[in-house]
Amino acid sequence: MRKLSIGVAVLATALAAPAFAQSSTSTKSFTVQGNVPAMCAGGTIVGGNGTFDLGVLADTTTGQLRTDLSAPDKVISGSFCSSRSTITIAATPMAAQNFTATPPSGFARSVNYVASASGWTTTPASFDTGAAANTAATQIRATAFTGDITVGIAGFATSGGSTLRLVADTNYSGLVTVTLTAAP
Amino acid sequence: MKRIGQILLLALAALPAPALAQSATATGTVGVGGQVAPVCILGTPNPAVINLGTLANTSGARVGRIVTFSEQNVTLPSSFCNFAGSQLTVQATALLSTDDTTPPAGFARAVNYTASASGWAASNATVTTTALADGTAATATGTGSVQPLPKLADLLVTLSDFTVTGDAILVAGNYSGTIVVTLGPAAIP
Amino acid sequence: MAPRGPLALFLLAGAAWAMPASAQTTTATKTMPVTGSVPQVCALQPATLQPGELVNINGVDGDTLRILELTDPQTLAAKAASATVSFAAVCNFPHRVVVESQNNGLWPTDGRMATPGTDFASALPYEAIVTWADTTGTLEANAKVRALTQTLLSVDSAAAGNLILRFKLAQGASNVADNAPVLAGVYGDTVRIYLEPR
Repeated sequence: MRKLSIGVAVLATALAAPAFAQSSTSTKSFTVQGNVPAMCAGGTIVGGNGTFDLGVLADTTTGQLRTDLSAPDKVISGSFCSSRSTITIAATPMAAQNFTATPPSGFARSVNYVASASGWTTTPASFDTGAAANTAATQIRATAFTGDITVGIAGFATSGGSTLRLVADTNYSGLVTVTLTAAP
Repeated sequence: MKRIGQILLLALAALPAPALAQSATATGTVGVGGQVAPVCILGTPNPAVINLGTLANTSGARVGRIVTFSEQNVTLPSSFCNFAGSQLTVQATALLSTDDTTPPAGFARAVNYTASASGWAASNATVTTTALADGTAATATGTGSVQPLPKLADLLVTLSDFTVTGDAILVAGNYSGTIVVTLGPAAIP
Repeated sequence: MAPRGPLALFLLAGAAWAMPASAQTTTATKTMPVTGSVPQVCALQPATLQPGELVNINGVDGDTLRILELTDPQTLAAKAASATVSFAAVCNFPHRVVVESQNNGLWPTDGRMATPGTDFASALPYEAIVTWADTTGTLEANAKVRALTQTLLSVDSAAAGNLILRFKLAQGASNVADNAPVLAGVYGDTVRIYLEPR
């Protein structure tokens, strides 16, 4: 007896050939993420000693401020800010620490100076301890940065006038502060 | 089914009438056939996002530079290929800061890492990104060895060795990288 | 499992950034002391004669006050003489002034031995008055005994300005009776001023 297989085979071929929509490749992905905060880190002072020691401040024959005072610049190395930042310099006059009373007429107990920080911004940040206002004390850096900051002091002047004499004190001292602040 | 029956009858009618041997029994046979396509399916990545948190040290000797991270693992469970001769590929893109300005000297905006997809064949699919400090050349691809048999397995992608070119300081911002895993027929050599 | 087409799920980070707790800016600060010292200093400039208070003294010769006419030509009693000298001075710490007389009076400077007796004056007393920084002190050179004498002025603060020394020889001054005639000779003394720590 003849089978019907021929017809079936034809049918099978005609009907059972579906269009396979999937392919043989699979792709999946995932993400790895993190963040870096806007931050600043201060470096280290080259030479290790952060003190500007001016030694004897007065001319011993007149008692007035010496006119040849100077101290070498100090370099802060390895500071950075990971985003744009501001650098601010502030300073306090060198004042007698033991003689804290009002000086007698003709005398002063404090020496003004100008402190400046350069290398971070185009215009150095500077602060005059004898000035009423210090608009140059804060400077802005528009990009992340790492580099040396050079700090120097100059422009010494007796507070109250150059004819005043300085009261005796073995410890005249002031403080220079340099601050880096990151902006987001 | 009705249609099939009708066609059959027509076909029969078209044949030259044979000398039919008379019989009390008639038998009909129907063959059944089907086809299964070659398919690979990757499991859904778990976790879907790896969040490393803060990428840079905020204090200490390595302040500003990349933190040392432990290995990060993502599984793609119940992945399979139903045919022989498949291959796993991993494409990794370094983590890049969303801010695409060129970083200043001494800084970088890219974090490189090694991604290794294992569990499929004798050799893993491994790749290490080599992005530059400015984020160029961030993407790289690695391919594993051929899997000669159909296989069903949980795949593991391990991220490790997070580094920065030149060990530079990282610019502030949000960073993101992508890992794309592909499973498919082995490339024809 | 029913066959499916390829799926590419890109999981966007977008809103899923896990911001760290300290998202604020951070600050780095360096402080650098500025130090110096001012030693204790006193300075005295050479004496200058104050005009207008000169009596019987013709001026400063080097550092010596020369008395024009020590005695009255008729009575040989001492004639008054006075002068004021000023020294520009400064001490930048609390200090003292020492006024010192070498001879304790005007004594003969030519090596003559003291003459016994009380009819003639052989040494002449005088006063040296020092004014400095709102303080005044007097050295009484009383000519009784020829010796180094001193007087001290304590000054409680730093001071700068002019230290005034007024020399006064009284009319008829004598180390015996007032107005006694003065023995012939050259008389002199040296007054020294010291500014020093207390």
